[in-house]
Amino acid sequence: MSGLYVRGVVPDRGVELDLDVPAGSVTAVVGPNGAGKTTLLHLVAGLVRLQSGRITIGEREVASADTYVPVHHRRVALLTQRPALFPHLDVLANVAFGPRAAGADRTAANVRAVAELYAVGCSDLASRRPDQLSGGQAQRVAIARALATDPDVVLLDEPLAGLDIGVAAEVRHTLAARLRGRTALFVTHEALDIWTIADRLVVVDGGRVVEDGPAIDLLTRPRTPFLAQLCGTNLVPGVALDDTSLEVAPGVVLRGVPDDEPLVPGGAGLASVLPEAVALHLSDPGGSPRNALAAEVTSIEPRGQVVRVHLDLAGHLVAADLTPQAVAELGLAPGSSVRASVKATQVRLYRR
Amino acid sequence: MKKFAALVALLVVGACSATQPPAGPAPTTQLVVFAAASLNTTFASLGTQFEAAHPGVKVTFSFDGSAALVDQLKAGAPADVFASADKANMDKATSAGLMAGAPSLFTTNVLTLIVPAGNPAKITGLDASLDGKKLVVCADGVPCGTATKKLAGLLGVTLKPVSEETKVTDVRTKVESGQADAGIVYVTDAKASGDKVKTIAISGADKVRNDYVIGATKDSKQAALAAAFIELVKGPDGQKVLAAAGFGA
Amino acid sequence: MIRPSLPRWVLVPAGAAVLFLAVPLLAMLVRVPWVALPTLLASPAAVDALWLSLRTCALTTVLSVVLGLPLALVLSRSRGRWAVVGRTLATVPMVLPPVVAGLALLVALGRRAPLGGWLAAHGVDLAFTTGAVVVAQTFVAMPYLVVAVEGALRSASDEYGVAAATLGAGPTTVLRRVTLPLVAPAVASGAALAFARALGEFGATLTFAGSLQGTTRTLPLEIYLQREVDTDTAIALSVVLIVLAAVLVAGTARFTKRPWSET
Repeated sequence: MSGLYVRGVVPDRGVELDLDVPAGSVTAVVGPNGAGKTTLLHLVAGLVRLQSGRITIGEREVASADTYVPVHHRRVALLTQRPALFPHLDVLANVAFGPRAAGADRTAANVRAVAELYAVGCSDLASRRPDQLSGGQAQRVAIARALATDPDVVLLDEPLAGLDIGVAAEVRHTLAARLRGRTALFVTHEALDIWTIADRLVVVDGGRVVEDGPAIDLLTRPRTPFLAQLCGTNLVPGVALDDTSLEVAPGVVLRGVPDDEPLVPGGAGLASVLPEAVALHLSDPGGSPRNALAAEVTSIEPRGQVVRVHLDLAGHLVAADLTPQAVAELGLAPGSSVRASVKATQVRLYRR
Repeated sequence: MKKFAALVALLVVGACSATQPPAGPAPTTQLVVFAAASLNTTFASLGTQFEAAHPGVKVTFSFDGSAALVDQLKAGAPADVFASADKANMDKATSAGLMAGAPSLFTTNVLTLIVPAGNPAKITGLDASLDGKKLVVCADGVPCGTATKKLAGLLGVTLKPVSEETKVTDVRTKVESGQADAGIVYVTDAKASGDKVKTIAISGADKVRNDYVIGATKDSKQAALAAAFIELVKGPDGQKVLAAAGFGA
Repeated sequence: MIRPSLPRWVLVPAGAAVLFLAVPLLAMLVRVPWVALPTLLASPAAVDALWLSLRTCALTTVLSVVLGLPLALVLSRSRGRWAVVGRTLATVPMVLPPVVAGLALLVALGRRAPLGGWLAAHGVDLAFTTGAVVVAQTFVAMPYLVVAVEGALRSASDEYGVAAATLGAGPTTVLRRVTLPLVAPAVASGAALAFARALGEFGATLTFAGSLQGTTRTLPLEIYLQREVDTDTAIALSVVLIVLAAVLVAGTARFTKRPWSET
């Protein structure tokens, strides 16, 4: 079992990445498009050369300013959105390719390939040609093929992005099972992938690692707009008055429930509110302990079953998910003045 | 569609008229002469003489192998005069009914041995000095090859050529470039090669004469001009030009 | 799906184009002395020419693959000015007038040329040998293979090579087990084109190799000679050449369809 250490500097690509992946940890990599996520994977795989820095896999140095271990000697597997199965080989030969390249004889390689195919639930596809596979089947075979080489590090570049939702769910579970206990870097845009597969999470932005920690902590208490968006929650910053109230603008206070990392009075804090927890009214609703704050509708965005209403709430951007019926009854339009109410139990407050 | 057709017509006409002289007081009468390739230089100069003596007449030549010219005549090519490098091809044209009257002999050509300048392979003639050397001749069947074969037979020599060319000029160029050690060509070719080759006369070469025959075609619409051109070739001026090129030796 | 139809008038020039290409070939078939054909083709000169052509073209095709395939691989990975130079050099013989190709070979490999002289001094005298025929044919035919294979390599995605490398395959393994199998159809069609081009090669052979029955007089040279001697034989041999070329071209069309890339 090998850990992965990366300090990769590629000025041409505006990248200076620092990362330490513990052995046996699946680390999810998220970040805006063009942040340098794929460059990170390519640095580790050997598809991009670093100009300074160092990459080690376990005890092996695979890249530095004057070391470059070629791709085929790195013991690194790469899975991308496209399965890239060799079109001229059948499924079994595709999976046996890695063991064969490593010097195994045909029988040993085929035995290994059969085992890997079984592990991803594709035993019955062994004699098919890649063009006879569905997208999900092809990606499972690609997983089997990658893992048949016993890689020290598995690199995944949005391997589920090209699949239908239902198929992606199945392949996601296969991946979760097959990656358990391996050292892996997993680039994704889906919070579900992180919850299901990753134990650690790094956020890359502008060619730098800007956040790095246990996935569960970063997802339950997002602290940046990017992570808040990934988790689908509203994030409102403010100053703590006490552990249940956050002043988000002068005189505007959000009440909520304290989280594991409670607010410290006078310190910076964050309020996390899911869009579906936000209700809109034309006048003050009154009643149970609620937050009822003045807001203005900035835009309205239909999203299938719900309508997302974007609000300007005391200078913060907050989203509310309503039914189309509710939006119609309230007669909402950009510029409408509303009262946004949220139950205090739906507001999680934590330290910044 | 009409525009397209017009464009095509224009292109075709343009392409066909490209060989015509530019507009102005242009010659009105064309005399088309089909002549064996070996007559290229001499006939071109005779053409110029002829044009000078016949204002308003333009002589157009087509030089090619005699057999190819017969094929073209058979296919209806519009020629007024045909000059063949051998009797056999002229006979083909005559028996096909292409010629007007009996064609007449106007000159002869004989074979000679040529070697590259400096004679690197030290060839002395059609003898043992050719053994193991690269000799190039014309292929049996084409006029110069048939003549070569006949001459070798008459002289009792066995030739072992490394290449049998279709055109006598291909023999010439291979000797000129030094690719071949020796070649058998017509005296006229040897002369045309100048000092790029050295000529070694074959004693008894005159036993095989190549007869050049000329005649007017039956379909010629310029019978008088054709006759005049043939007279020029056969007359003293024509014979002088031909002799200067090595013909009739 | 119904594609938007072509304007009908396109059929007129298209039909003219078909006629333009087909009429000379059909005229030849009409002109063929069918009754005498077996006799004409069975003459020793004709058999020698055909057999020599097939032998030299087969050798030329092998040489074109052995030398041209590596060149195509290198060119497909090359960028920048030297790549342009290399690609130009590799394709110029395709568009060179055949006689020019022959002259170029003559001044390089002729007996009086530096390289040819050096070879002759080392016991390799190409002049007027079957070897010279193969050299001339390879010079004009190999570019067809290079162009076909390089095009296929360039349009092929890198992803298979990358996948193979991450699976632990070194450059030789990637080449042998991934790259070459993927471009195999292009190699086959390029080889067929090279063979067809070699079969038709005339000018460079005539200029550089000479013309001797059984040694250097290939089918086109025999046709060229027979055109001067006996038109019927020339036409009969031409038909053989046309049929061979048609078979090769049709075969090429089959190769270019990859069986596994239809979805």
